[in-house]
Amino acid sequence: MKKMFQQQEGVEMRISKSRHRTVRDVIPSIFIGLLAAFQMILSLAILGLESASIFYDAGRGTIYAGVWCSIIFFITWISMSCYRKFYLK
Amino acid sequence: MINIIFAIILVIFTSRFIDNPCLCYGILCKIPSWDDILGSGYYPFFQNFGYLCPARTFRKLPVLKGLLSCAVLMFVSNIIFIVVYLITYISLRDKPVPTSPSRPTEEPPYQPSPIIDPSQEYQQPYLVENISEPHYYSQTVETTPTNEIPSAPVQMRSEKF
Repeated sequence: MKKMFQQQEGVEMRISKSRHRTVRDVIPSIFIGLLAAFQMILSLAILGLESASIFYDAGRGTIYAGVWCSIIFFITWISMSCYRKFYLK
Repeated sequence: MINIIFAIILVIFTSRFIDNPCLCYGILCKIPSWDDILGSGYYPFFQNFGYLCPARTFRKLPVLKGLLSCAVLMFVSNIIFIVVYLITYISLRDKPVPTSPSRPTEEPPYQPSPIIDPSQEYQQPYLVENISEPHYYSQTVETTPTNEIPSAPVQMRSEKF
């Protein structure tokens, strides 16, 4: 009986896999990881360059956009890493 | 998606500042530069409301160009992610879904053994397949007939589901 149940479970798992094939099964996690790492480097670069810009002149030629935009960029690459870590196969 | 919006905002502001590094907005125009404070041309805030654009401000031009390139790359990376996701999603949606999947061929269909009965106390210590049907390992069955198999009294564990 146990063997029969195990066989049935195996068949159902195969059927459900073939029916519910989603994006997470297809997109390679290494691609998302590379993209998240690239965005992390870019966010740090934007923050550093904005700091350098403020260092040269804090009033003219800047609106501190690099600072408040990099907050959003940081949230994005962290969420992308979490998406790769916990959601993708 | 919100990342793209902020990347576009950063690109717009940075390109404006590259065109004119002395551009300033609102109260930021009242902030004196380091040259104004350390040099001879500094006046107190209440005396001089408009500060000139010093040479130090123009030195930030390569920094602004680097900032613009980083913002463009951020925008492009987000576009790549969205395009790849959409392409994958659309390609999966267009594929036909199998309505009646066939049973896997690598495993034979299950046939309950007629010999083992959990209600009986003494059982055969191993599983004996149905002899009437053609067997998978027919050689061993032919060499050792079932009536010669010693039946040791082994107490079977009751199966719990």
